[in-house]
Amino acid sequence: MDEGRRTPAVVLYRVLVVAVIAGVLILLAVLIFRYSEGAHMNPYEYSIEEFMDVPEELLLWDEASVIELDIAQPAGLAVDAQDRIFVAGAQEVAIWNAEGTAAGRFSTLAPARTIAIGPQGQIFVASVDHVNVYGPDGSHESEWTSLGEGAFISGMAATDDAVYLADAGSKLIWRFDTSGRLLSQIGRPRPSADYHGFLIPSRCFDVAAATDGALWITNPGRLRVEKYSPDGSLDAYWGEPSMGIEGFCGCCNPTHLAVTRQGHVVTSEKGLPRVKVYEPDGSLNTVVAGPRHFAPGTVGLDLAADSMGRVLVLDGGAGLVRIFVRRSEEGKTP
Amino acid sequence: MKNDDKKTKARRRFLAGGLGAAALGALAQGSTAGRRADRPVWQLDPYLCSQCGRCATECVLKPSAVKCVHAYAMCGYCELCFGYFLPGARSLDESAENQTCPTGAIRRRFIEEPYFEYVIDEPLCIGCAKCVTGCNTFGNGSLFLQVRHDRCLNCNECAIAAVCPADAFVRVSASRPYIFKGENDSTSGGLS
Repeated sequence: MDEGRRTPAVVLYRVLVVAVIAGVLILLAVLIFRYSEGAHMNPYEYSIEEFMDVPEELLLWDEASVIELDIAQPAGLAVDAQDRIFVAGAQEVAIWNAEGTAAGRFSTLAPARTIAIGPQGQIFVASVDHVNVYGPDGSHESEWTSLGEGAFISGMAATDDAVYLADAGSKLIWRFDTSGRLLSQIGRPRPSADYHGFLIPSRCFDVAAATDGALWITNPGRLRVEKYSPDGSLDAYWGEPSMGIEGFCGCCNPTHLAVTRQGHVVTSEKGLPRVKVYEPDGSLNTVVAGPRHFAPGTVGLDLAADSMGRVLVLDGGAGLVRIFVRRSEEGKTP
Repeated sequence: MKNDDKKTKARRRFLAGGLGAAALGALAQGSTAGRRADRPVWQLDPYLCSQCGRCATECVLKPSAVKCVHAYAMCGYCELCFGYFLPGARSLDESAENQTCPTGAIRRRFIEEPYFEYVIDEPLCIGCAKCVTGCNTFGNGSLFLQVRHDRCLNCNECAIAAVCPADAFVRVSASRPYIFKGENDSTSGGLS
C-alpha cells in the first residue's frame, strides 16, 4: 500500500492540490487587501504631516480644563471683567463662571456669529449683518440697523466707549458708540496714501481691543496682524506667510485673535489649526496648542483671554471651550 | 371629373396619414427626449467627496472622466493658493516643483494686485483631487470634482462608485447632471 501511494501520479496529484489551495489563498488575500478600507494608498495624497508637529520648547501651555457646550452651532466666545465665559450660538447665549460652572443662558433673536461684552455688562451679539444688545440679565435692549446686504460680521470688540465690528463682506471695521450710532469706518483703501485696506479672501476677519485702547485687526489675505489707533490710523503690522510655526499659513490666516491683559496677541489659524501667542512687536512668544490638539479640518477657533492670564479657545466642532493655562517657570501648571 | 375626385381623396388620405405619422413620430421623439432628460447619470457629490484619489485610478477611462472644476464665485483669488502651491513650496512661482497639480493642469494668471485667477486645463486634469484637498484645507473650497458628461460612458456599474469610500457617487437626472458648489450655499466662504 505505501509503495502505491508514492507513485508519480499520486505525487503529482498532491502537488496540484497544494498548488490549487495556495492559489485560492493568495487570491483571497489579494481580494481582501484590494477591498479593505485601509489598503488604498493614494498616490496623489496631499500631505501636511510634516507641518503638524510643534517644537516642544515652544509648547508651554496646558489644557487645564474644558467646558462641554450644549448649545447649537456655537460661534462666538467672550469673557467679561469678572472672567465669566459667554458662548453665543444659533439660538441662545450660554454663560459660565470662571470655574466653568453654568451661570445662566438666554435666547437670542437671531443666530449669532460673534459676541462681545461691554464695560457696563451689556452683551453685544452680532448676527450676519446687525447687532442685538442684551442687558446683563439677558433682557433684549436694542437692535441696531443692518450694515447692508453684503455684510458678514465675523468679529467684534467692545471698549468703554465704542463697539468695533469686523465685517468680512465689506472688508471694513465699523466703529459704533455703545448706543449703536455709527462713528467711523476703518480700512477703506486710500491708494494715494499707499494704504490698501484689508484683504479678506474668506469669511475670516477679526478685531480685538487692548486695554490701552489699541485695536488689533487681522488682515488674513496678507497673512498678517495690524495695529490701529481708534481713529483708524495704521500704527504697525507684522506677520509673514510660512508653514513654519513662526508665520501664518494658508490663503487667509489668522482667522481670530485676542489680546491678553499683558498686551500679548493671541492668534488662531485654520488649515493647520494652531493657537499662538505673539509679543506686541510680532515675535513669537509661545504656542498654546498645535495642530495635533485639534481634529483635522477644525476651523473657527474663536479666542478670548481672561484676567488670570488664561487663553480660552472655542472649538465649536468638538463642542468645547478649551481653557489653557501657561506653565510656571518650573514647568508645572499653576 | 370622377378621376379628379379620386385623386383628391387619395391625396387627402395620403396627407392625413402622413400628418398622423409625423405627429406620432414627433410624439415618439418627444418621449425619447424626455426619457433622455430623465435618465440617470453618475455624479460626484462634492460635499461628500473625501479626495481619496480613486477617481483618478479607478475610472475605466484614462484619463478619468472626473475633472476638477472651479466655482469662481467662491474663490478668494489668493496669491498664495494652496490648491495651486504645494505646502512648503520653495518659492511662489510657476515651477513644477512648487505646484500641487501633478500634471500642471491649473493655469495661474495675474489679475491685479494682489489677485490671481486659477483656471483648470481640463484635458490635462486627471481628477486626482490633490488641489481639491489643498483648497478645502486652507482656502474656500472653490475647487471640487465633477463627472464630466462629455467624457463619461455612464457605465451601469461605475468603477469609481464601486470603490468610493465616501459613497459620494450618486445618480442624478441627466437634465441636471452637475452638483455645483456655491449655489444657494450658505457655507461657502471658508469658515462657516
